[in-house]
Amino acid sequence: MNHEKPIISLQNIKKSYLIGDTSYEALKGVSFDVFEGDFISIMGPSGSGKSTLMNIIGTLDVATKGKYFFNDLNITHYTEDELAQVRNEKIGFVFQSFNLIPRVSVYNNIERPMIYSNKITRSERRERVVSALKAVHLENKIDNMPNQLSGGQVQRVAIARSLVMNPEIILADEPTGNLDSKTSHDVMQFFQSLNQQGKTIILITHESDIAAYAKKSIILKDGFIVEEKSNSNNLG
Amino acid sequence: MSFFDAFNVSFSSLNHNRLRTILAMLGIVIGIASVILIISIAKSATSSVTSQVSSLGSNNIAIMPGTESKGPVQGGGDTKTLTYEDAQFFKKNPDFPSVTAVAAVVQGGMQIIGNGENINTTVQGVGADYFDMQSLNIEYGEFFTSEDESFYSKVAVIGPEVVTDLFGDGSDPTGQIIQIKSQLFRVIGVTKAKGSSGMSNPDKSVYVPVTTAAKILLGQNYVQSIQISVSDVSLVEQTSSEIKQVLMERHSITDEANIDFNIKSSKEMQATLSSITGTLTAMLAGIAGISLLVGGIGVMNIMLVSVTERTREIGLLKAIGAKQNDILLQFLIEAVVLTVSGGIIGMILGEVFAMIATAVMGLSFVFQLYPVLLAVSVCVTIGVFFGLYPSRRAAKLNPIDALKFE
Repeated sequence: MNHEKPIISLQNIKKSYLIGDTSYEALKGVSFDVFEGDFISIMGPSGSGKSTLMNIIGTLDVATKGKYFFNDLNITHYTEDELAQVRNEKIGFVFQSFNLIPRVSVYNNIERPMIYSNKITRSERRERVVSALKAVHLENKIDNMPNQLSGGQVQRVAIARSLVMNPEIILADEPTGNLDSKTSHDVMQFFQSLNQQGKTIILITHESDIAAYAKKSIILKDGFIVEEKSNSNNLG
Repeated sequence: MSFFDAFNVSFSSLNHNRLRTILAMLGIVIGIASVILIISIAKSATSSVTSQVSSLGSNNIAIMPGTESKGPVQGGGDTKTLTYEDAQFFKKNPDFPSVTAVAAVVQGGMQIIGNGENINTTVQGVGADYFDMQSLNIEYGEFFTSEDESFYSKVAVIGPEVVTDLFGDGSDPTGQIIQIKSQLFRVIGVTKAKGSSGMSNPDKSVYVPVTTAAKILLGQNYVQSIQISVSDVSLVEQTSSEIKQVLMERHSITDEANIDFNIKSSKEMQATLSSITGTLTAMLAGIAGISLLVGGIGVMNIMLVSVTERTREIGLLKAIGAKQNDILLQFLIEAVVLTVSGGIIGMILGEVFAMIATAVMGLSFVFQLYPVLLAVSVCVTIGVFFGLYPSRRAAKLNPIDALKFE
């Protein structure tokens, strides 16, 4: 583990929700750092707060208390549109249910984040889509529609989409939840190879065999981190 | 997000739900088409009628039987208060030096037989001055004169279409005999083609002396109108009121409330006509406008369904970095593309139907740019107005809730 400045630094993050009149605290003070090249899995039973944590890391939600630094910038109080820009440029999302837009082609799905960026020219977009598809070995599916692909292929397209903005972090939320076990392991091996190429990955999962692909695991329970461990024997 | 990209993204989703898009558009298509159709027909009709009226010249006065409330359209034919003698009274009357021409008019649809052919058309009994007042010119022969009026001559001047129907195209029928209501008339002239002017077509008319028409053909001693020309526009108003006084005396009327005729200058008639057609147009366009409103609500409904249906997608777009305005713009463009393309189709249909309708009604089609511009701006407005609420709803969605939406 290197000891440069972290990409992400969470400091005493608390998150509470109001359910009716009673306040429910999903995160009760979570702190950890994510460094470049990390491959961290966040595990925990349901209700442990891992989804809430994932939403906060992904800037889809904001903490009630605590500080969130991204590249040393305090983004705790960013506006919604500023956070959208952080998501666009710094974070690549991979979801359990893939979330491809069903009515547009693979190309258009992967191109979409670049459309919202305003910084990438039209010709460069094409190059980037092609190279992202090459990275997931699906370059021959560029003009297919999502419903013409298998589950594993769809998830690889989603991974290509998460790579296309060249983000600092890839945030994968139960990426294998909708896949059979063979495809799951293929996808996880793919994440591993991405990590070996230098990508920083945060993986949310409740399956320990999936979490085992990561270099490091953080285990949440009842809103606290109860264990952080290195997976010395990580699969690969 | 660039405008071009936003347009592309919006278009792809409209294109995907093609049937729904077409159905949502249909309301706008029908609304715009009916507005354009009504405005076009009304404009064509108005311009025909007003050109007919203004072809009378601005220094003409028309006296019609019946009370004021009958409006500018020739008063009921049943009203029998105006006589040929009323007309003759003003002719060459030294008390009315400004009156240059007077013509009484009666008319009726009748069967005409000539050269073995047989047609139904309008027979106009008119004073000899009428031709001049209506700017009718002679093609063959001559017009009848005041003497023909006095002697109840059975002579006729016929329009070119009547010539074509009875004697064949382009022939000169002067001297031929035609039969109107079992009476024989000698054709003494043919008018030059003038073209239809909406309500009546001089080219299809048969003109006979008003006296002959009233007494012999119609068996009546009243006339349907009296046309008077005044030497100068500035004298129209004064002459009108003098005529009114004299006619009241002649009809033994002392109280203006009991007046049994009405006098209209062609200027007044034009003004009244255009106010009536204006009101009618506005009313009809208003009714058509309601269908536009309904169409707009249809678009809003579809947009709301579309936003709900794509809640997860909106969540994803937010996750991959779409800002609120990107989402807003995307949905707003969808709504505006929907209404504007509906509007363009509606406009084309409206103009085509208007062309067909005016042709069927014998009016000349008047293309107007302003309803087209109006329709486009109305469509953009409807799109923005009815699209804004659903689009804002989409833009304001919480990304986490949206992503979890089933």
